[in-house]
Amino acid sequence: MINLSESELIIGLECHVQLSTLKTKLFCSCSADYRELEPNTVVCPTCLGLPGSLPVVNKEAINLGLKVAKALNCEISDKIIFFRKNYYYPDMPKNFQISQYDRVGGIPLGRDGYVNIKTDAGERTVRIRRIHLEEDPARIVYLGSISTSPYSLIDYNRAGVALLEIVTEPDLTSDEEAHIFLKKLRSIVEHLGVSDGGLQGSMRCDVNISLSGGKRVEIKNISSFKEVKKAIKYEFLRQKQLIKRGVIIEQETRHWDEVRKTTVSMRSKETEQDYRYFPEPDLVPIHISGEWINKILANLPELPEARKTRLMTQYGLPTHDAEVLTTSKALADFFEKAAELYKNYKNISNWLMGDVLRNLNELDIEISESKITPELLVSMLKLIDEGVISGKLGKIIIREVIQTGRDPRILVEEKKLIKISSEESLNLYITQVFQEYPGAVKDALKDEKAIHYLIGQVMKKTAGRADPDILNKLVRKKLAEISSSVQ
Amino acid sequence: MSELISRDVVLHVAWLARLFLTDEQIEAMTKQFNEILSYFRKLDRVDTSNVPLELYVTPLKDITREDIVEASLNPDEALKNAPKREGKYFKAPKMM
Repeated sequence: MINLSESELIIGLECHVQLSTLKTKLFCSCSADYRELEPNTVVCPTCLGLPGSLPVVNKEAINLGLKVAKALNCEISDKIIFFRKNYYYPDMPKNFQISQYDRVGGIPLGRDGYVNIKTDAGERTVRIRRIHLEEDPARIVYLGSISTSPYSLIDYNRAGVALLEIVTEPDLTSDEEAHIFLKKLRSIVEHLGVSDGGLQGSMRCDVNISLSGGKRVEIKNISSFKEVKKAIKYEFLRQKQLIKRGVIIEQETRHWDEVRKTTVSMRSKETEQDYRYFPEPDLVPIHISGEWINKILANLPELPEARKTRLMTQYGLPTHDAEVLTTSKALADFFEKAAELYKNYKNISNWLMGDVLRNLNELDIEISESKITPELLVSMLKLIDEGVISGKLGKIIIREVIQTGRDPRILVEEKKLIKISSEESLNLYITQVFQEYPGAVKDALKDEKAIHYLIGQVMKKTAGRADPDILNKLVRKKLAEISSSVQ
Repeated sequence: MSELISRDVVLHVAWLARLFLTDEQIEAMTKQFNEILSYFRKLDRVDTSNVPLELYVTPLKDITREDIVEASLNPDEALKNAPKREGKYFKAPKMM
């Protein structure tokens, strides 16, 4: 979390969300499923920009764009118009990108929306300036690093895949808020079924950041929402240092270096007017009728806010639990699947919000990347309920379940983690401890604290496997025996 | 004929296309740009004060396609016209 005591931080985001649930690209019928393919295998005359080819817009892409615009409370324009953004770079083989524009007669698909986010300081509204459709550029491969490579190799498989650009107003004031907003945005698009944030590069972000009313610096090339927080933190510290030394921050575009975790000046020479935007003459306007919008509204799936409320009523979860679980579609899905198998809903929620999320954070993975399933979590909860293992041991084996996906029952047997509740076995440990700590035994005859100390020592000897209730009973019993024999 | 396009603008436009022109080429381009723009200036004589802004000249509208995959080019065909290639990649100069 950034300390804002000295400087006022203002952040606006430009998010690019791939409409990854589409089967085809935005303007041609090539498969949009380009990941892990040989280079240049899903390309055609249109997405290669060959002469004589014509783009035709994918109707489903407009449907998905409208869904997002509605979910983000945007005003929707009555027609869709595409523009050419001209720039000379081989990631777009036509030398322009087909995008949308909000000037010279252009209008974005959606505008003037908002998203409410929950921060430590309470509810905040983040305004959405605009949402528009555009095509994803190709992937460029460099030999070694971008600065030493003598040439570039281009794979046009990604070129033409449908992207939704979502631009916020500069309403965010910390790295943490930006992160919360992006998580919420991801949860919304995943609930809508328009994008899978778990796919590499499916959600990218440019960040506009300024300090204490200084000039705006744009950071490009942040390839995942996770990295955004790090980039903001770095850029904040960099600008703060400069201001401290009396340097004036220039307006510029910087590049996020994911390997070195720093921002680097890009020296971009192109300005907005250099893009020479003009209406794409190869595409015709698409009119959005009231009927079309109504159809979208009628088929809008349950969104995170509504799901939160439902989790509270259907499972009796507290507000906080329902909020945390719906920050991610995968997490909420996990909860509901587990709830079909196990009826102590609050217990599932406690484990998910506590030990599961903590371990995922430590491992820096998402629940979809982990090996734990609702079935495995429930299997472990039942082991605890049945008294086979203690809750404390559950906390230890859950990490292994997350990493390996192995059945907790088998893990417990293999590791001999089963709880010791036999009085005979426990008494052996107790006798040992009493022999090793005669001083503590003496104290324990009158001091409650020393009793806890002795219990702790037995726990340690059994690697936490002793049944705490029986152990407590036996230690007190033994102390009572000693006490009566002394008298 | 008043100059509409300066030599600097021509240089800038050339840079946007990453073209590097000789002095003679710059001069020739500046002349041609100005000739073309002067010719189009004839349109300024038409009174358009009552004509609404229209981005399209065709009456066509609402043309979309369904989200159904069709065959792509085979990779050899896709790369056939590439001036340079390396393996299955297009090869291009590194851009600034």
